[in-house]
Amino acid sequence: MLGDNIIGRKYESDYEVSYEKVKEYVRVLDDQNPHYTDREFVKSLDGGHPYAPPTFAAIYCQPAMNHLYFDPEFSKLVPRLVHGEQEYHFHEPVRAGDKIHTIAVIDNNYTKTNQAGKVHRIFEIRTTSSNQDGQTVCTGLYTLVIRGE
Amino acid sequence: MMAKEKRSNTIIGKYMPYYYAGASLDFNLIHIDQEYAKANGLPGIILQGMCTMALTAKHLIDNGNPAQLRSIKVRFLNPVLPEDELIFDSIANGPDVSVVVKNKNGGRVLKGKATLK
Repeated sequence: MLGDNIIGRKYESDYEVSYEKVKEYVRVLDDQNPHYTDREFVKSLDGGHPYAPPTFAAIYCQPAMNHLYFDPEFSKLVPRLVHGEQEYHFHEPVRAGDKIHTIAVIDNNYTKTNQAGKVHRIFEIRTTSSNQDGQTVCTGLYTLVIRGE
Repeated sequence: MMAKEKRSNTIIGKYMPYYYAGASLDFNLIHIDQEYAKANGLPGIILQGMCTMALTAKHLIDNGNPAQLRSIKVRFLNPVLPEDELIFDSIANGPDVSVVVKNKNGGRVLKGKATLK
């Protein structure tokens, strides 16, 4: 069984945030916030490029997380995986044109027994994302639950 | 200081898990394949938790500057299914916000905390 040897395993990815992708993402959410979709509005506001929504972190972290999900050992657990908890801290805004580097590390692995007596396995994944200027833009903690049979 | 309360509603479209999968690259089959989801102990395809979280952040930011959201921490309590209606309730005490998302067809689906500055 996949055990403690997986702690510390690291997955990395690069992601370039595009205005078109941000617009596609907020369209799914029916989010009409002009900070994301109105180039002229944002330019007149602070001269910069449109913002990505804070939860766009899920998108720029996803390629690193996909490396985890396709890890030959971890991938066997994915059919019973559900997302238990999610935490993000936003340090700097992310905008269209930013290049984001993400490192995802398996930080913790433990079991938890629920009221029905099922033993769930929990994995905690820590993500650190930084931009082209080396600033940390977002840190995250993904709590992934492998549901007991 | 007075606590500030806010409520909003969202109906999850029938195809939202597919749209969100396309936008997010989260193609886990529990979100897009009914038979696979059922074979793995779920009532059917479920919405990505990250999508419920994104809708929660949208409720909190409410067309304001997104940079005001400094942190968010949520726990996913129950699956959200296509065509569910979600009710977002948040209470702000200064920068600290607590939020609960309820399903009109059942109980709570998310609870969390956020910081807005």
